[in-house]
Amino acid sequence: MEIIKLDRLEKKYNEKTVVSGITLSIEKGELFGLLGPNGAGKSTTISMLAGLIKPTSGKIYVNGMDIAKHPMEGKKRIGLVPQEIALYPALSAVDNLRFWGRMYGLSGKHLEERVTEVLRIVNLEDRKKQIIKSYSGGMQRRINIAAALLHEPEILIMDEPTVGIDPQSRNYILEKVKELNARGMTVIYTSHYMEEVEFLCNRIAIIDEGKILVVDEKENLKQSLLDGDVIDFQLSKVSPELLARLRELKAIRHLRQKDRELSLSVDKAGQALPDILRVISENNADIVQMKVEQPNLESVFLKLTGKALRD
Amino acid sequence: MKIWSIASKDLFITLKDKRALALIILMPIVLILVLGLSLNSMFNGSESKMAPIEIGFVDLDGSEAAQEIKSVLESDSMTSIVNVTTLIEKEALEKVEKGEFASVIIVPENYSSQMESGDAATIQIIEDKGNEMQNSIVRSIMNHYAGTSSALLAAADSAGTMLSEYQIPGEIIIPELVESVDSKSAVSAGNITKDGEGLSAMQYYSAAMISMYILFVGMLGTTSIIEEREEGTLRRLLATRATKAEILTGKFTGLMVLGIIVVTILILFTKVVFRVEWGSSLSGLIVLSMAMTFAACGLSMLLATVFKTSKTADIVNPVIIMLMAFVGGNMIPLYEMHPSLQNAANLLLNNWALKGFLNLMVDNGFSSIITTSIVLFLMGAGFLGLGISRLKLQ
Repeated sequence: MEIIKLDRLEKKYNEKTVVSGITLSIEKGELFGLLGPNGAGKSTTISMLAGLIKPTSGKIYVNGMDIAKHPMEGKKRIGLVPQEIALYPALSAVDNLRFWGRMYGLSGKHLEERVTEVLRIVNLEDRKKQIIKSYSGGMQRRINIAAALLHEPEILIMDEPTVGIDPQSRNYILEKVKELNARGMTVIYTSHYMEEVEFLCNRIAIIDEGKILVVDEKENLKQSLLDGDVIDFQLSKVSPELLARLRELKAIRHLRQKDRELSLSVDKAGQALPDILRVISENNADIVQMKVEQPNLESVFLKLTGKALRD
Repeated sequence: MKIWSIASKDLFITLKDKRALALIILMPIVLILVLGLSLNSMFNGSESKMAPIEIGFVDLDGSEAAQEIKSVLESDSMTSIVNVTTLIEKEALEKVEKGEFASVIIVPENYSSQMESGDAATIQIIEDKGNEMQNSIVRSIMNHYAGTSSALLAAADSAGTMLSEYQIPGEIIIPELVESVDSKSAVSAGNITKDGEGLSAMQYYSAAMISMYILFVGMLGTTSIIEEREEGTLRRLLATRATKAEILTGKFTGLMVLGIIVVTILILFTKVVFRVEWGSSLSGLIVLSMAMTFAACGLSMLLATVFKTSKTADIVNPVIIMLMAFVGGNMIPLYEMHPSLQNAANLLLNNWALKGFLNLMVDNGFSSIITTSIVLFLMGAGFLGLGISRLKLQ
């Protein structure tokens, strides 16, 4: 059953088109990934879906209802986890949650029950009286998520919910997202961390320059778009001459460099490697580490957009 | 429900912030004490007595009735309060424009004939607008004179056949005026507190600091809105079931309540601890405080649309407030300042609030703050309307 439908959605700021005719359907219970580099139009799309900004044209349907005509119906069903920690640092976790609960129209005993429940979900019941300012980044992120769950939304939109936190908290959040989805909640997840999207989502849309480049099941994306290999190197040094020579090799479809790390997309690793190793050797660089991998979402993204996700 | 939740959340956050509380409550108290004690001489010319107010007297009627008014003002008992100079109209008006006279009292041509025929006779008072405190004293003297003389005339009129002719007896009016100077009214104009002390620097600066520090309360509101925008909580609020109108009304209500709490604390504290006399009109004090707070909160909503970051607001806002306070007479009494600044002060809400409080202090009563309060409410509504139309929550 289709729970969200975006129909030729467009957003313009003055003459600049930020979102350009996006059409997309999301089924109830899906864990849907939205990938795109900075400025691709992800946040604008999410903001329109959450009712924060109005589209220039196009329609958004939530549960079959046009949210331009029924904005409160959309807000009732959607929980938004913003990218920033949108909480009051001087208030305790429980006071923050009570406040946000009231903003969703909860009150009295029901409000208290929901606050207790979401604190249990994010496992912070015993720290609930501590002010947010004194929390670690990971704990703040967890309360940030809890605040979006208070009104028991059918759809949870998570905009980069794990930015800047420790791996332990990140894993905890990812597990919780899976758990919420397993309970029937539809989740739309955006992240710069490709591995998070790859770990969580069944279906993914890749968006760039305001347009959806592709939307498909995760495995289909990888199989249909990439049939080659990825060779990752860590070298003792990387010179401009080395990079120029590597780019001249016909076997290399795409090259990405970060400091002394190189990631090369090739058709077949076995055929391409001798030439690559020769060029590295001629440029007096030593190989510290090397591995050959099957294509992942990062490679798909690179192929489609020509840029790394964190560009 | 949502409006009150937003308001009480804002209030709770501010009341937990010790720095904010020190700024809006402790600082004005300290300043009232310091300025009140150190600048008393600027007000009184001596430690406790006020210098006589320079006023002009223009007699266009040339009647005995006009001379009676002058003799009342020049009587021994009044010389400590006013110093009267008789001039021609043009010259007197020039002097008031230059600020040399606080007021000019003009007795019109037909004054005595109107009195004799039983019609309403009007005495005209031309005032230096930058000298509100002294003006209110002169107004009060003349109101009291008019009231007393009307009563005597009415009594004489009713005696009718028993009196062949009558005149306003200065020997009756003067003690009346002096009594009111000593006891309660603004004739004492400046010398007004019940225990007989002057309209002291402590009184002036209590009114001045409250009408200045209400702007700092507004500043907290401005910063709060900008911080919420920066931190994304306003954006998140818009994603809940709260509407933009509810969010803005909640923020405004919280600030209004904070302002009223602060003003109440400061008035009560100065009254109890510093024994500042705020006048006998409680309703006037309440209405004026509400109007002033409304205007300051409206201004804060407008300023929230001007500054892009809370850091800029925190730096620039105090500078704006200090300028407003300087021009508005909250630091140096207006009559000490250049006439152009005195005119500019009429554009400032803190100046209107200050004038209102001074009027109440000299017991000019509720009627004296009606115009002031209307102006303040209109200013507030204007700022608020402009602010809401420009305000972006994201």
